[in-house]
Order: sequence, then structure tokens, then C-alpha cells
Amino acid sequence: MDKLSREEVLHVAHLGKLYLNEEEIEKYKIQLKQIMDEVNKIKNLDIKESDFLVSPSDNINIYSNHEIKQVDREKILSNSCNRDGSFIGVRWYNND
Amino acid sequence: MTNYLDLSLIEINNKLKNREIKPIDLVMECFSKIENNEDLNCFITLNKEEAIKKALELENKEVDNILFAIPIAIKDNIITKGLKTTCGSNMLNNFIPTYDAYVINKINNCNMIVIGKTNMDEFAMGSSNQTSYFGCVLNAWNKSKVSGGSSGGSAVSVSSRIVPFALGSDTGGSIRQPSAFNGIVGLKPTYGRVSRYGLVSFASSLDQIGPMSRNVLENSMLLNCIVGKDNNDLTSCEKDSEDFSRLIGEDIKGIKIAIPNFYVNDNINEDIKSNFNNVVNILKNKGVNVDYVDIDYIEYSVPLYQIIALAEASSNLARFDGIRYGYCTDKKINNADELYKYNRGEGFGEEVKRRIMIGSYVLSGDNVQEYYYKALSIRKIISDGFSNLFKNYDYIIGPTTTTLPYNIGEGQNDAVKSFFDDLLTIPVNMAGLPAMSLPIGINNNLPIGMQIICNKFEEAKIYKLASFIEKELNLNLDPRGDLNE
Repeated sequence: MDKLSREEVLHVAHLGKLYLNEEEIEKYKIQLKQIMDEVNKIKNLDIKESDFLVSPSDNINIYSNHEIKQVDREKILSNSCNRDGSFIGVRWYNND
Repeated sequence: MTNYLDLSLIEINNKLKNREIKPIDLVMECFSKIENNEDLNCFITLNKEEAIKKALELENKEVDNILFAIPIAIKDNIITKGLKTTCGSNMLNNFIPTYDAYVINKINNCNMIVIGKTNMDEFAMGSSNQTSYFGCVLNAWNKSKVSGGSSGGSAVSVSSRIVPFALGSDTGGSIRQPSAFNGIVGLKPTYGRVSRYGLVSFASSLDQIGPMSRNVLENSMLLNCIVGKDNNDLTSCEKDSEDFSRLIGEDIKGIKIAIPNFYVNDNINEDIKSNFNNVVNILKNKGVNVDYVDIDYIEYSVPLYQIIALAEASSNLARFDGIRYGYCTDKKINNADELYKYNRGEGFGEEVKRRIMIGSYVLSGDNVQEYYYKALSIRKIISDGFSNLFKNYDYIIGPTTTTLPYNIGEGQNDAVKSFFDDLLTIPVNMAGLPAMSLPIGINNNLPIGMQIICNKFEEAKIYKLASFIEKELNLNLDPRGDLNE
């Protein structure tokens, strides 16, 4: 098999919450297979090591100070393209 | 146009102290050079108004440190308060951060001047700067070649002498590879040495911010500025402050160096190997002990990276839903799921979507056991392999890249090419080690770089060896040619 099926591509796109157009689906059938062929080299290895290395950091834990930070509400809201006055709107609720 | 920025950092500092030049002279020279080099496409957003304002303010202040009033370019995945930060993506095309990254506070404390935000592969995913929503960055040495990536804009802005410094980020080689492709010095510090607070996350256990500069000494000076413990980053390390340039000039006789056989394998370009072997011979002649060694599983670096980096990326990039900030579709939407999918499907580019899908897949259901956990075990073995080597050796060295800078457009249909571009740089990120790329030669007017790797928190030792090699080779690479001709 030199490419993934349409269903497989749509499945991983769903997992990643991504809309794909028809052209992209065709392209990703081949490209995702190319990457998975590499990734499967790990899957097929016989590894005895049982320990994991999740992060190179040796830190155990860090607690931040409890402090209230003031943020500029106006500047934060201005980054949303769905601003509705003092709120962030979610457009489909408005059924527009 | 003035050329003060061609002077060394120490010379510029002296001129500022003696009031021979003013900060505004440096800033205006930068923007003039940006205009003259517009075709390189190394900046996404300029900070001209604020940079001029700050330069004028600094005229009345005492020149109290070596980086005072020095212009710097910032990779566009490091957030800057009030200055657009796009990550090279349409998703964040209009995003204005409300706070500064830790490193931005540090360079502000030194009174450096931020000139602008540099172009990069989208969300740092790529090794040729061809995945940016804002277009490809051209190589400073040959405009038909790629700049490397993902910190391509940062590398080119330094190489073309627009700015003396830039900050980049390195997840699998994104500082070192474009540094090698453009003939500059780039350092990935030890994981935890520089706070990631305010760096837009790609793969949190691999990402690290680092300095990019014209030469080794100046690189150490920028690292001096940006390190430090930060409680806003869980992985930030508590270390005493140190001068990273303090070992520069010390004798290297008797040091022990390991070269992994994997780093000189048959897949490495012959010209790169030849230049690297030339350096090895210089070191041997100076009384350095060099051995060739093996590291278990290092040949699996690419699939390892594909699993770990992309798994972390799929999780980190889940926050981009286009609701609170970011790209929002204008399509008619029927439910929340559709809204997320259209916002993300239209906001992200091809490479980012490809990587999110692979990352989501390896983390789904039983795949966690088969792929992700297994990759973490191999990561542990490789990291232990490095640790064991450092019991007997001071350094590990090798070429930075497998190829010279290649033609723009090359490999665009090959989904794995960008990963293999980082074949020799990825292992360092897996183990959290510090590593530098520095120029060691030029072939057909294209620069060649080598890597110097040390044990954790031994950056000062890297600068010592790098400075020696830099002095011996005396390359002084400048893509503009010999200005005295």
C-alpha cells in the first residue's frame, strides 16, 4: 500500500480538528503514508528499556506565587475576531 | 549609509561610550539595511516607531553594559507586548500579545533595541523557511537557495549584517541548521537554561531559545544576557550567573573529543565531510585526543522526533481554535465542531496540518503504547548514551547538516525531507544538551557549519573550543564579499 485511504485521512483530520478540502485529502493520502513509514520503524523495534525520558529537565516541581495579575481587558478582547461588546461571541450560536 | 554595525560589538560599545555615535545611528542603519535587503524577506513585522523612540530615550542614559543600544531581531514565535507575533502563520496574522516573553524582558533590561520580528517556518515546523505564510526567506549567500529553518529570518538578518544579533528557537535544529546555511554562529543552550515563558510552544520538552550572532565571543555575550531562573517556566533551572566567555582563549591541548560514526556516515555531503575533517586534523595537531564512537539508536532520530515532537505539537496547537484569538472562518457554520475544524483547517498551513494529524494519531488509543511510550524509551537510551560518553570525553563534535543549502522549491513534495534536514541536530534536543553551530568553510559560495556539543550546562566549554576553531580558520564570512576590495 503506497498511500492511506480517504477514510484514514479523514479520521486523523478529525482527531486533529481539521477541515481538509478534496485536494488536500488526495495529497495527504500519500504524504501521511510517507511519514508513517518512517514512524513505524520505531514501532517495529524490540526495546528492552522500560524507563521513559519525558523531559530533559531534572526539576521536581515549581510553585508560583499566588498573586493576582491585572490584565488589560480591552487589549485581550481586541485579539478576537468574534468580539461582541465586552464579550467574545461564538458566531454559530447567533445563527448568522 | 553608515556602516557602524560592521564594527565589532566592543568597538560599537566604545563609540557609544565616547559619544562618537548615538543609538539612533545604529537603529537608522538597521532600517536602511532592511530596505536595501527587502528581497531576502527576513522580517515579518518591523518595530520602527518604537525602536526610534527607544533609541532617542537611550541618548540620555549611561552606557552601562556591552549590549546597550545594540539592535536585535526576534524570531516571530517569541511574544512581544504590543508588537504583532504571527509564528509565520495565517492563524496568528493579527495577534497582538499583551505581555513580553522572559527573554524580551531580559534584553530590555540590557537596553537592547528590538528592530523587528523575523520570518520563520510556520509554528517553527520546517527546515527551509518555505512553510511560512509570509513567503520563503532567501539565503544570504545565494538568493536561489533556501535559508534553512525554522529560524531562517533570524539567521539571514544576522548573516546579511542587517543586525548583529537575533534570537531564534531550536526544537530539532532550528537555530543550528539555518546558522550553518548562512555562515553564522548559533547556540542551542541546555534545556532549561533559558526560560521558554513567552515562546509559543511547538514541542515543549525540546524547545529552547538561543542566541544567533556574527561570531563566537558576541554569541556568549548575548547568552549572558538571556539566561536566568524564571518561576513562570516549570523547566527553568536554578543556576548561578556566569560569564560564558570566561574560558575563551584557554589552551585546548589534551582535551578529549568524541565523533559519533553516525555524524560522518555516507549520507553526509562529501564537501561538508572534507571541511569537517580539516578541522579534526587541526585539532589533532594541537594535541587534542579524537576518537570515533557509536551511540545506540541514534540512527532512529528522525522517527523518534516525528513521534515525540509531533505528539507534543498536536497537543500544544490544540489551543488555536480561532475563538479568543486567531484566524476565524467566514463560512456558515452549524455547530462548534465545524467551527473549530474550519478555523484550524483554513488558518493552518499544509505542513502544520500534516504534523498535527500525525501527532494526533500517535497519541490516540493503543497507539500511545506502540509509538509514544516506545519513543520515550528510545529517547532515554540515546540520552544515557550521551551521558556515558561525557564520562570519558569533554566534547562531541560533527557536521551540523548533511547537505549544503539547496534550491528553493526542492523537495516540496517530499513529506519527510524537512525531518532529514535535521538528522544531525535532533539527537541533541532529545537529550537536552547544549550545542553550537559555527562556520568552518565555504563551498561554491555556500557556507558549511559544524556542531560542538557538551554536557548539560557546559556552554562555557563550547565557547572555548568554538573560539579556538574560529581563530584558527580565520574565515570572517560575510556574504557581501570583501568590503575593502
